[in-house]
Amino acid sequence: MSYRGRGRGGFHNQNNYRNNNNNNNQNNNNNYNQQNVDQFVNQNSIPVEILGWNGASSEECINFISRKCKIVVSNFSVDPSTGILKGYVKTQQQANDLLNWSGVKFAGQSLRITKANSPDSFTNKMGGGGSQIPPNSNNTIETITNFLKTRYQPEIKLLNLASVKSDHNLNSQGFFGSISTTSKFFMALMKIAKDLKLDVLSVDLSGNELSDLATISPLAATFPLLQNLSLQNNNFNRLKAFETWRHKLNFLRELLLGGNPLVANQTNPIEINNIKVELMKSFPRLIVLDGEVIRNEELLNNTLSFPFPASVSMFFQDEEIRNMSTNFISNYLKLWDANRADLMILYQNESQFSMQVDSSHPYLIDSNPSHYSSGTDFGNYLSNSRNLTRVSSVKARLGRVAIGQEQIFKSFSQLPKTRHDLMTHPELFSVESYRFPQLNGIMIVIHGSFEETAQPEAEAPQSVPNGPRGRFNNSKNKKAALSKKSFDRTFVVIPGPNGSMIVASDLLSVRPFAVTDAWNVAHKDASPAPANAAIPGPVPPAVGGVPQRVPTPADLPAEVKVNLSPLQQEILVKILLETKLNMQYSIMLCEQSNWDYQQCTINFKNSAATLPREAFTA
Amino acid sequence: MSHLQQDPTQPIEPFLKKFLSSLDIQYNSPTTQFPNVESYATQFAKSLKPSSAVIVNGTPLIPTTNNDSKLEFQKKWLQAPNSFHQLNSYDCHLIPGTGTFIINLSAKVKFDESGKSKLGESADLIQDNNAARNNRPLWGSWFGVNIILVVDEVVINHSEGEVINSLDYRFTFKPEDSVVKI
Repeated sequence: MSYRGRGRGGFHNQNNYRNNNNNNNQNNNNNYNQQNVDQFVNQNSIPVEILGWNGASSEECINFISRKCKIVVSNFSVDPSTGILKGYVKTQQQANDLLNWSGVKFAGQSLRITKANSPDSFTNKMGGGGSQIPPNSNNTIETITNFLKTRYQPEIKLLNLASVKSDHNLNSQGFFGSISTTSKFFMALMKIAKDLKLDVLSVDLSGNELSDLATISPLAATFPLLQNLSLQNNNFNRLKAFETWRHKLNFLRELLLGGNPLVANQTNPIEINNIKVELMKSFPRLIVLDGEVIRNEELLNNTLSFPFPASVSMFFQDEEIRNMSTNFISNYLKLWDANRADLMILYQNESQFSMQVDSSHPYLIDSNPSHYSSGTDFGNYLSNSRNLTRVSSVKARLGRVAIGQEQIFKSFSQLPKTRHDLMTHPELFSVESYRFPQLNGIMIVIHGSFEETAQPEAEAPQSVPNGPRGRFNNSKNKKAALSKKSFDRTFVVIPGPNGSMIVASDLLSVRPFAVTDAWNVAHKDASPAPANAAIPGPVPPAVGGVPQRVPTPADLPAEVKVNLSPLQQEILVKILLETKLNMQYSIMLCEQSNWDYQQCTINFKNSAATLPREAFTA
Repeated sequence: MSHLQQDPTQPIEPFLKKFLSSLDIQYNSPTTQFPNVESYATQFAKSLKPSSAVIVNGTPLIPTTNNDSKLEFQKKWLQAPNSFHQLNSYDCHLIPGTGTFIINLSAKVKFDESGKSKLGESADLIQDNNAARNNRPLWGSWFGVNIILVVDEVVINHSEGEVINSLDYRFTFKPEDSVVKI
């Protein structure tokens, strides 16, 4: 083994200068950006109001206006009490132009547009965002929005839609004239409830003459986390009716069906049992059916829990590894995005790099409509992909590993340029780092995502010549679309001379962009998390017979942690330890250094002498 | 290089598939019968070395005085719902001088959401009289998973032994509608 002794110098030392520059640039950019933001706010300051948009979503309406009228309405939101879509345009001229479009057809209705600060704005007409139903209003959305308001009980998260047909106000609007209008009413209701982002755990739909789920089918999509549902006193008479919702209400805990022909007229015990069994199949977490406990809830919760501790995004085997790997990752990704040639110092003659594509990795289609660029075009990767389940020829299997600086740099140049938002969106990343005793090194595993920002510098070799070649395969001029991607990357890093680091092995796996719920489960989980505050970490070695605990982010005060990402917490703990600054000054140092650990140490060295005594812990 | 020559890493793929399917073995299957729970549970990931480092979703398994980390893993895995793994992609490097492969594999996995445990225990208080459909797993949506293995080089000659030095199992994607809590 001969990685050692060939080092060309330390990773840290050589890059300090560059980091310094980068950070200066970033600071400048920040100031510049702030000016831009101020300008932007000033410019986009003419408020407008839109009604009649509710045939589709508010986003779709804004996009429609942008396309049709060539006017961008920014910062838009829906006023939940009135259903008015409010937003801002840049100039009075734009506002006037937009007003001229009032009456334009959108999703089956006419859009009505006013300036919010004019006397005839909708808000003023409704009495200052009023909660009262305007007299003689024909506007569907206002009526339904107001109806929803009277029927929603936020304190118990209940949406009471019992006997909607007996609601005098709705009836007078002719909502229930026919089955089709009734169905449309529920559709509209669900849509508005979704736009209002109502937090609903229970829905009461009793007494609505329902015989199947057709009219209320959007309920499952609107409230997928629904726990309690009453369908009492309706006309359900066929078990099949519930198949529409099979596995769509996966968190439904209690269901009431009393007063429906399906159960009311049923005396055959076999049939009754069959009904229960089928409903349990449709609703996997159903515990109580018409007051009867049909599942052992505790046992069910146990069975349906992955039996390992809740996912945590960062794992470091010990303090030394924590320091090494956080440094390594933040520097590596920064240089990977900025200039990959600067990374070559980490690679040596026997270093290996290869990249594989898993294009069929699961991901949520349209997981984030605002990030429309999350495509699945792997055109820039496929010809170099070393997915060994797909690559069979010996030549390709061996040829697609880059060995040594020259080949590795060539491979790097054939990958798209990227941006990793490690500092601004650290929640997108997850890390495990642990010892690799065979080489006295460490394994660093990173999972996360990046944005492709430009085509590769160098062209990848043409695909293996075994596919059909013809006019459809003219890939020369066709560039792959740039998009967001997710990745998993494994480094084996070994110590080089003079404290430098050498990458012995670098395995990159690229897959479709996925949101990060997989390791940010704790934040999203509705049910109270088990007491896992004491995450079992490796026990640090006792020093001098006295057990010493290395502080971890878990030791940070909660009010500090709230504002910091896991990675920022790691950096803060390190700074607290190494500088002996107090919390306030440590945070200040980190913030002024853009949460860059190396920049922190530099800034600290430069300013330590001038800091007041109270900046340090006793 | 002759056309008949095989890439030495060729046997790794069957090894990985066997490893993944060992996680998916069912206790009550028509094809295999186990005399007791222990002989069943010790089938999971049996290519782990007893002292393997095991990390699942960012938390290490700590060996106890009675159980090494392999046994700890197997006991935990026994409590997971029935699973089905599928290998999508893998890549590996033989690290010179160490006699080990680093394997980075990308897979997907789905779990039985019927509410039955691996041992057939059900939380249902109402029994389905139709026994045939009773035992069928109800597969949920796919999770994404990334697995990093450090495996002894000998795996290319005999893949049956205990060759895994470390296992790092990480969910990379969680489907929104999954009933299984991670």
